[in-house]
Amino acid sequence: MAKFDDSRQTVHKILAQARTEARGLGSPRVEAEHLLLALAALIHMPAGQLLAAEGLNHDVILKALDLEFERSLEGVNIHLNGFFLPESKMPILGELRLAQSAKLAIVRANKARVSRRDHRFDSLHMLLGVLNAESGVVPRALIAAGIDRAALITQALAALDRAA
Amino acid sequence: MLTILLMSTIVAYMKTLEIKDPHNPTDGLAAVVALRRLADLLEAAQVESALREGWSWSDIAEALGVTRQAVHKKYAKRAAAAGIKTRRRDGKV
Repeated sequence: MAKFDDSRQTVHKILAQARTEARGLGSPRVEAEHLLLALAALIHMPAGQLLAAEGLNHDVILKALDLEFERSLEGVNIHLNGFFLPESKMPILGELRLAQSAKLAIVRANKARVSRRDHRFDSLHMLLGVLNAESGVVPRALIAAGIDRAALITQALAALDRAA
Repeated sequence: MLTILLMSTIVAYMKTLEIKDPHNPTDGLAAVVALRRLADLLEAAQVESALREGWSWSDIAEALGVTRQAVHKKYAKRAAAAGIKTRRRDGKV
């Protein structure tokens, strides 16, 4: 029961932080990239510590996401060229829903836990769920920032092995 | 030989310009996601700007090509939370 409570608390904390990240970026939905930002922000959790040890703190991930955004627009010949995007001061209210990318990340995270036969859900499982996406904003952002996604996955698995 | 040289020059030129294949779905779909985000951010900022300048919900809706109800449902509570005074249909604040 304690393991179940621990797992539930871990998921709850990550989702709460992801909602804060999404709100801060003016997104009406929680996407997979907000889960990644949440994991980086929660530096007391193993996933946050692993990301920080790899130099992937919250700011670095934010910059990688900005770079991915700009490059994706350049794909259809739209160049922001430092254009300052106007930001709304109207807050995003209510409970933010999970977008499909975040739902898939959570499903993959749980698959990673089950396949390893880990009893407790760890932030590292969530990190694996986010990193295991083959397409979407997160893998593109990591490529744009020159981050080796496969190496990060290996390190997350190794960290889970050590914790087991 | 000349053809090979010409081809390699063209490829090098395309690389410097970062021309992407418009038929490549990887780039195309990434652009769709980014454009949606850009549109969402721009819409919220411009609706806020219009409200602050005293535009009515009807005027904003018409400019966006949506119904008044749609734009009101999406932004009324957010505008109120930001302390923006909005105009009613009869023009009163």
